[in-house]
Amino acid sequence: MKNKKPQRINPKLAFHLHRWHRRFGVISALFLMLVSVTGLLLQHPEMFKLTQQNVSSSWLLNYYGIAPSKLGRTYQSGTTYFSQVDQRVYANEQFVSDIKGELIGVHQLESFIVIASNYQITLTTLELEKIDTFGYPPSIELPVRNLSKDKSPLVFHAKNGLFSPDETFEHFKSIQFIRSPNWQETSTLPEAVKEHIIADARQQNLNYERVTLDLHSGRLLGTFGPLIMDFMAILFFILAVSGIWLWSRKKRW
Amino acid sequence: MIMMRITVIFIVNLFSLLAAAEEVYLEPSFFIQQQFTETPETKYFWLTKEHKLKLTEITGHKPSKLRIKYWVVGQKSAWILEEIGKEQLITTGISVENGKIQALQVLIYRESRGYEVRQNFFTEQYIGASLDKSLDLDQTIDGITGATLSVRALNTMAKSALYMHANAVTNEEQKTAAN
Repeated sequence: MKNKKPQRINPKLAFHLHRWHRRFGVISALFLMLVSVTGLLLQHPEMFKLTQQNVSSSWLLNYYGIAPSKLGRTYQSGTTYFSQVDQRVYANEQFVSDIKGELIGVHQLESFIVIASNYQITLTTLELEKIDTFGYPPSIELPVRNLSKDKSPLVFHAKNGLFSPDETFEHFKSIQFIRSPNWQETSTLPEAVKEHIIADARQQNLNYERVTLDLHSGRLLGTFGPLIMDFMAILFFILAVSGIWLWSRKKRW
Repeated sequence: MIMMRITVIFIVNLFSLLAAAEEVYLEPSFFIQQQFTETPETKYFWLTKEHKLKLTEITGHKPSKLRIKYWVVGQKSAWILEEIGKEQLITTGISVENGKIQALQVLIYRESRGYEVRQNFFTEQYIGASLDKSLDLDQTIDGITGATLSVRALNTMAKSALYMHANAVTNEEQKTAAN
């Protein structure tokens, strides 16, 4: 009985197959490298500090449509300017705390600093370490409008009257004045500080994990990004099939 | 180019909307009410340098504030703690009695994934757990696939509550007894 000879492939077809296999291989290798590197980064975001690092490039922030942050009110306490940018409070250029509502005043007391917004109060140490953030008691109708200029007593001007807190800020009592107290007035922030904190607040909206994820999925390129990635996935599949088939003709490792 | 930008903005906004979805399962004040038969005393636990170090060891980051509010009746305390899962804060109520967790409940969940940690089958694992010498829970907590970071956050809050209870309630009681 004669052994059946393996069917030989048409040399012209084999030549073209090899050539396109090589070409597709080079194109897909670039994408494979991109997907591998970004995938590796996303697998260990903490190790590569992707979540802790924010994007500072204005081009990329503009590309993502992240609007420049808005400077809110500024109050001066001693030589320190306390300013609100978006939902963040800064003491000069240092970030102090997140804030809900609008900043209505700041007071430096003997052992701590009071930062008041119209929905909550934040207490910090004199070194600006946050002690606590808490809301106003239910007896105070929100939003609170003003904080008094004087420290003794500290007076909060709410819709339903004037209130003064105890030492712990746990309880507020309603108080009455013959003459309304003077309320804190806003200050003007020096231009250099303003630029710095506005840039810092804007950067908080985009971190490198988001950018890496969008690069990995192709979404960074808009509508066509995911489609390109889909096409590349099909190409990888074709390469794998054609590679195995070409190898099976020669069966050499 | 404009289409590309619009799509990217849409996707970014979609992600932030998903991330911002806040689910309140139980108001923190109701959790506190449920834990005590009589009106509890409201107290503050102030973090000393040593407490800050220990809590940093437990949570893996510096405490976000220096005083933590808690409610207490005798040897039982209740805490409302917050910890970031992946990107958002998870608010959890924990009550501790005689150094063991009596109840642990997810009150507000803001992450887009991992909400399974609020289910009773998961939170019941913490009941009776206490803190060993290496600041770990003495009971094994089985994780949930796809909710690794939320599980880690709940473990961290459970350990923090036990640590603070030991220092705020148990140690204070012992000091009072010694005097």
